[in-house]
Amino acid sequence: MKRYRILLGLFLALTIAGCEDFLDADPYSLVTSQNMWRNEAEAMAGIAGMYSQFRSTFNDFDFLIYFELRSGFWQTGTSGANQWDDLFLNTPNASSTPSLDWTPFYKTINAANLGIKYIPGIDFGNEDTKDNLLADAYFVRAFCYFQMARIWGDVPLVILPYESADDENLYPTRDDMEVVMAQVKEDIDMAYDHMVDLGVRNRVMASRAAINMLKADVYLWTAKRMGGGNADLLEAEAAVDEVLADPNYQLLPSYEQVFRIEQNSEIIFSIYFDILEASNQYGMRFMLPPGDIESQYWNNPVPVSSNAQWLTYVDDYVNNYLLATPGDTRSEVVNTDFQPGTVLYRWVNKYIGEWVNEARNDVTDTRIYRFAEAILFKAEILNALGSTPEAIIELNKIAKRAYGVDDFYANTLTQEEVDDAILHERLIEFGAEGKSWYDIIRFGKAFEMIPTLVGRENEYEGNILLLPVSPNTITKNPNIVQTPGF
Amino acid sequence: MSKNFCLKKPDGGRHFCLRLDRRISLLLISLLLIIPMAMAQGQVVSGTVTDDTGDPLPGVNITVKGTATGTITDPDGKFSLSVEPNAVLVFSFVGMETQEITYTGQASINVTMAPLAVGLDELVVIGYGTQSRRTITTAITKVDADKLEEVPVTSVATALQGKLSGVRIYQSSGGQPGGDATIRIRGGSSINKSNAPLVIIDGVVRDLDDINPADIENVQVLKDASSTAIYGARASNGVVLVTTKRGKLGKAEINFSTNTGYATPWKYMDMVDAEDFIYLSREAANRSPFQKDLNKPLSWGTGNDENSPWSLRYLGDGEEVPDGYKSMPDPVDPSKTLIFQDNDFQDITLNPGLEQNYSLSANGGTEKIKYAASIGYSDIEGMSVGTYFNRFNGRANVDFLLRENLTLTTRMDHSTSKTNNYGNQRDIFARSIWLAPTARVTFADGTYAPGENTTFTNPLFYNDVRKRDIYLYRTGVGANLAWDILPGLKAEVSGDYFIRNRTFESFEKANYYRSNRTAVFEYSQTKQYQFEGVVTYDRSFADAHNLNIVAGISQLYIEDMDSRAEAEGASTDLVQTLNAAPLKLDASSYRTSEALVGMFGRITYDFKKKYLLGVSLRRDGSSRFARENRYGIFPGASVGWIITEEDFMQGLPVLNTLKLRASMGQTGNNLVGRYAYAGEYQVGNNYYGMAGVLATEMPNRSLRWETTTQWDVGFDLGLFRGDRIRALFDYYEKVTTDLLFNVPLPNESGYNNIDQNVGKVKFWGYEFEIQADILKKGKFYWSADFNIGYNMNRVLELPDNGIDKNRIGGIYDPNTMKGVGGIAEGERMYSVLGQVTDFIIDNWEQANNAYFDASARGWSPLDGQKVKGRKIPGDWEYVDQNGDGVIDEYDKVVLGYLVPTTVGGFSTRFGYGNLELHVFMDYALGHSIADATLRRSYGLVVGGNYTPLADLLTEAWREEGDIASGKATMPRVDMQDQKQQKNYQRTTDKSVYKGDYLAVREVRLSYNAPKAWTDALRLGSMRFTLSGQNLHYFTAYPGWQTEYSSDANYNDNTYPIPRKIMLGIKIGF
Repeated sequence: MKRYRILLGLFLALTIAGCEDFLDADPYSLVTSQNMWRNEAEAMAGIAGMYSQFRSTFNDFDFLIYFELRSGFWQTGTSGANQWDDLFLNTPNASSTPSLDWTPFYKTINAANLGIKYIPGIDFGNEDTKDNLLADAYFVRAFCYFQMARIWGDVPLVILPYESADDENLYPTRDDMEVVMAQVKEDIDMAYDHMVDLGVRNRVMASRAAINMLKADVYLWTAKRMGGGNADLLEAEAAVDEVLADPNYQLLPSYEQVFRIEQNSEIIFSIYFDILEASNQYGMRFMLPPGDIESQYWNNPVPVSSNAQWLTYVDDYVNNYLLATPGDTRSEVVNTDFQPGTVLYRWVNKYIGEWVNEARNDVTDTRIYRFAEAILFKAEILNALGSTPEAIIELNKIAKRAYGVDDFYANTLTQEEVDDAILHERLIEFGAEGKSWYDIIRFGKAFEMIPTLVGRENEYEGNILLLPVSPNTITKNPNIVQTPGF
Repeated sequence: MSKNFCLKKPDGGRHFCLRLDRRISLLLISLLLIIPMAMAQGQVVSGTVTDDTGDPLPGVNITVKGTATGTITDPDGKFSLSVEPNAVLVFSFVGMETQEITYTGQASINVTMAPLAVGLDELVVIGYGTQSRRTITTAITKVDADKLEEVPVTSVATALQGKLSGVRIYQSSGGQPGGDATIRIRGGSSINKSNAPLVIIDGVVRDLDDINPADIENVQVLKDASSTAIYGARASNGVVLVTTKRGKLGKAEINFSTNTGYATPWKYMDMVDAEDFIYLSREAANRSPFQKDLNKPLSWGTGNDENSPWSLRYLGDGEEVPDGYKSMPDPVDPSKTLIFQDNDFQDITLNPGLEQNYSLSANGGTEKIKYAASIGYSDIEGMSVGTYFNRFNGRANVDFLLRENLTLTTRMDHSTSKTNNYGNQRDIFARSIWLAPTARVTFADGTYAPGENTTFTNPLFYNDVRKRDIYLYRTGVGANLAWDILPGLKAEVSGDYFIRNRTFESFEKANYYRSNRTAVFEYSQTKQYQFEGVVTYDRSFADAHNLNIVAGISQLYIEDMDSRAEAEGASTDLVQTLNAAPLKLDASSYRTSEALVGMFGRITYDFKKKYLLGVSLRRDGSSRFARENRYGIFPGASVGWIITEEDFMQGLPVLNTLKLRASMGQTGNNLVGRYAYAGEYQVGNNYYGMAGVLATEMPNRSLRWETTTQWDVGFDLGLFRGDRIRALFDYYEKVTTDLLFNVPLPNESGYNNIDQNVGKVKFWGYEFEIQADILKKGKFYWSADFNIGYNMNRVLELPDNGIDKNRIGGIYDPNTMKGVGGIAEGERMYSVLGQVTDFIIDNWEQANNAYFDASARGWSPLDGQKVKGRKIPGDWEYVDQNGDGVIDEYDKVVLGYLVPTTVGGFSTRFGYGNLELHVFMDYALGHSIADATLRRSYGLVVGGNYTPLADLLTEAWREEGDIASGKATMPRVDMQDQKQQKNYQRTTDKSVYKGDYLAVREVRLSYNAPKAWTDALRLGSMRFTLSGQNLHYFTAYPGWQTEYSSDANYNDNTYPIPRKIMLGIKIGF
């Protein structure tokens, strides 16, 4: 009898003792806030995670909605499951227009904010690595806010990470666009200062040249759209000049090769795609599925994709830009028309991914900044500063590759004609690269060139070029007011 | 020696008393019984007690009425006792009718005990113990094996459907063979965390689908907080206790049973055939922007050839109509002849599925060792192409009497199953089945035609190219050591180990859409360890005070591991495993764990089984919370009063038993993410080959239990002698506070949401059960039962978000500051929103005067232009709820609620001799079904490749005046309605249906072979059963999946629940 009593006592003692440790479940496969941002490896992982989120933010429909669909060049493809009429017709509507949610942007910004907060406190074996990672965070944050300010105007400027639901700034209001752009410029300077790597580093993350391109882009915008004037043009010019002087970057002789070779010497900054990481680059929305193609043309010449074709160019763009000048080597790359019989097959031929193992992987890197744009930025800046003849010289560098002709544009053109020519060349050169909408706006041609916008300057309280915020964003934070006019 | 003397002063004859105690507990597998000892006086009478089948009955309690004298029967059912002449002997046994026999000098007294109709004295399993139904003061519903047996189902939950009051069970994976069902007890307790009850099988936390229904002794559902509080932290949604069969003393009882039958759809949807399809779609396309597509390669276009997925084309000059084709004049150009195939994809997809179940069990034992063991095998073909399930399972429960006062109870079970299912049921039931009838089934070379796209395919193609094998291996072992320390004092320790392994293999053959040959292999494992120690003290004092005390500790540790690998690029379909695929795409593994520690105690007391009291307390610690918030305390208390035990209530003619009860208690819910409190950085967000981590969950160290406080009042009623009519009633209210709520975070935070303890929700309702033995006369008997449960909910408090009623989700109009739907303070949950239709616009005048409709693309046949918001004749006009002259989001109102308020069932049993008929029906009332599939069907969506239902043909508007003349009741047919006016493709009062149903769940006819047959075959018993399940639903809802799949989602056709006709035989050896 006693034996059992001892046994029982022992059992009770064993089970009750050590409860506290017993209840500390090991997270094994998870990183928690308690074991992150402690060392160099974790900092690098945090920055890689930030770029991974950056890639999802600027991809797929979202990318096209923000940067392309409103420019009047697009129509529904063979399978238009999505309703993009609001964008094609420039009648954006808070409840029916897709992709008006800020979440993807602020996920990227939060990752950048965490890096900017924690990386300075981490000991690195090599301080240069630490600085480069900080430059990445500032660069990405500047890029995000620049685009948000262009898309929505005033947006909440959040520059500290949120780490608790008790944070008193959890429900911010929209900050003035000027304030946001000032922060963008400050971040660009911080990125530039921290980017100790002077060479290429790589072509899918921040680099000196990438930061300079963003800087030129931003200052050109503020010069032309926000009253920045010559001062901003000169800032932009200085940034571009540094890129133009960098021997690591040059024009490829063949326009097509720019899109067939990844990270070639013309690429300054691109978003990396890979079958192992993400194979849903937005180019998949332009390609035709086998059901839409007669079988003898499968990949001969029509690229077969497993996705439905949601978008194609309209005839106006094909005829008035791509086919405007016979012999334009860019035309077939931007868009291919193939009509063996009665059916016309049309697809954007830039981002075609890879055909591997009888399947298409949509993994072409998204080109964000390339050397051709540095040249065209330079031309635009020179022309805006009044140096029209010098601008024509730059412009003709692009025309030479396109048409194979020297001095395609005569040096007798007026300042206004050169602006038109630069815009025309940009709209072809960067076709489907997410440049058209803001190029047209920057050149002040939106209400002239885009048929659905003609005469509508004052609609939506003058905010027709902005987008409304999704109702969901407002529901989750009642401090957010809708973009006026929507 | 009186029983009291024996118990109070164990020194005087302790040894003898103890031995008797052990025998009782051994034989009855139950609570302690108080046995009076006979003093040797008078004459000795002996005899045998048997049950109604003639088998000896050991352990029967025999007392001499009015004295403390008595004995019990031995293992052979024999007894002997000294009695005075004319003494009255009382024979009693749990579960048997008590008998009184007067001793008039017989040499022997042989007694046959009749089983007691399930009554108020039955034993009920409660947490860590059992109790007589008579003295229970809490809301517990019980289902015995006889109600589960012979229903040929493989899922326990399915077998329980409609049989438990206040418990809603629905089939979450529909008719998929081997699929699970979902259980909701009293509506649940939470808003957006789990509402699933805690399931405990033989004391171990397990899944209900881990067990073979044939192994079940009984199932108990603990509903009120006083009964569940003993399970503390995880008990807010109720507790389901399953007890499996254990060995019984006596010779081996061997049973073999098998049943086999077919599953078929309980109904077919009335879809149009190819000719009507072509007529409807071509005509609609002709007067629409899709006119240009009439000659394209489409299901309704003529541009097809022999290699197209579609068969429709024009008959060539001089061409004969080919074999297998039909022809008709083109409705848009009658001078031409169309030829086409007419394939019924509903018929192609749904075919009778053969089901077979086998089970062999043995049960018996000696005083030292008792056993119950079984093996079973099920092989079930689904009624939808390619779906399949099989399972082998075995169980062995063995009890050893190690020493006189030491019992070892062991349990072991294993099951292996294989399932083939659809990756997404919608691909088939909301798409493939609805594929246009002009689609080809096969090409000339015999290969399957591909349909419209990867997820809207010909079902035979879908099934041919995809392989999905799910293997599940589950093994549980456990033991329990019980030590009778002193009379009434018992200590038990138990340990259980459970492991579940799952492998998933899939392969997609190279096909029309994808040639990657993607192969996936997943392996996951759950290991669970549980240790418990319980001390029980059970004692009666002075014939009046009955006391039971339980105290114990419990430890649970769970470890999960998941892994996954994916590769593609194999050169052949022959090898379908990863080794053949050169391009490795995914290789990952993931491991988590959790621990729970609990300490608990309970006291139950009654005075003369008249005044009843129970209190319990549990303290739980969970690893899901930060150290400072880890522990929670969960109390429960209940009282009861059996009025009919009072002297003043004696002698009433009808009222036999009446018990009033009330209870109150608190329980918890800890189901947040295992590490949610610590915040989460997700790994695997790689970039440029660099391993990346991304913050995905914000930390919240203040997370703690969600607490539900519930009170319950009720009564138990027994009418007529032997409680021939028994009824239970309960009214309850439960309020959950500190809701573990997934609070949406502002977009600017960079996170989607965070788990916080905010908000308050209330559920309340009543339950009523009645059972009646209506008639028992000679060979004929008739019994019936009925149950009903009503449950309602209201949100009381939500996190402050600056919006009226703190509404989350739904629609919020910033202009009026008003909202509707989602969840909001003071409102009921699970609403469905939509616009309300007013009338069908019958002419141009009405069209021109109609409201601007924000969802209408406004293409008019008059000018061929799209003008947003414009209406044309044949469109619905909607009710402008907010009076702003525009029909948009803000005109949506609550059209109904998706969760039933009232569920229940009723059954009746008729028997005549060896024949028995059992009919069981269940019902759910008070809910709506928002159907997405019927909308698509009427709307000719997905490129116009959807087959409409036949009423579109006769009921749709065609020309001006159709409404006035009463010719039409539905709006115009439009090609791809979703891209035009959305007359069908939106949620309105017309696409939200009343979901009320009454299901004919089971009809069973059984026949016990007469003794002559069984003797001739040398069998113990033989029983034949013919049964039908899910025979019919009485409902106004026109779809076929009446029991839709989730709490809050729209019905988007899942696997319909099949009708099954089964023939079974059960043989006892």
